[in-house]
Amino acid sequence: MAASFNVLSVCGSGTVTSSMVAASLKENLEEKNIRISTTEARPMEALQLVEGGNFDFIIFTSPLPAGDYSIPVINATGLLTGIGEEEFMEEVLETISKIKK
Amino acid sequence: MIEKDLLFCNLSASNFSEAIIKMGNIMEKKGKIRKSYIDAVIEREKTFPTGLEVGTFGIAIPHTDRQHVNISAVAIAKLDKPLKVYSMIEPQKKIDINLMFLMAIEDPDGQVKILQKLMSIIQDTSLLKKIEMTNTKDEMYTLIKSTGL
Repeated sequence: MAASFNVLSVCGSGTVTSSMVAASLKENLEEKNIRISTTEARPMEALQLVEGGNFDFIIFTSPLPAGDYSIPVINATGLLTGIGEEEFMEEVLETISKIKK
Repeated sequence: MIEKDLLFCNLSASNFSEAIIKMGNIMEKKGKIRKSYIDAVIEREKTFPTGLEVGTFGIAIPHTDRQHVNISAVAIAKLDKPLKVYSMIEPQKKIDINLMFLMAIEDPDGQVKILQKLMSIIQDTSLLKKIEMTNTKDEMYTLIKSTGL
């Protein structure tokens, strides 16, 4: 079975925008046979969730508070606006390729 | 999902909050949102603004938590003149916006299709340009309806 990745999707309210980008990323990756499961969160919750959870990387549309996240963090605004979407997907794929499963 | 009553062609407002109030009042009158929604949206903008630069377009997608929403709806406004809004990704930076999408989403996890439709609209710069050029609510309605929203 193919590996699945856990993604933390962060936006201001922890719901609407993060669900938008999470759904879009999920769809883009499904085309490449990569499965992800996503969790939506607010910026202030992110660090604690990462420390307690089993996340592989973070995507965000509102700035994350400073902290040692220990996993890759990727700006997903490009996915939201469509401007810079390709660069975003490249970064995600490169990140995934470096994660050992 | 889109309703003509929730479209605003050449909305006049002296600032972003006033625009949110004007749009929100109609949403409230139509039973889409709770009384707490408008204040919650304005409050949220202070910490987590929603201005987005889509190429040369400036738009904003104000919204808030589901507990302030009764029925999912989106109000769309073409502004009569640009308003200053802070950027989502760089909250210290002000951008000029011409279009607003005030979103009330009852169940963001269950209504992913609506969210993706909205996303495809805000990414479609040729559509945004057409919306900007409309002069009536009817023209706006025809254009937005054609996207399937």
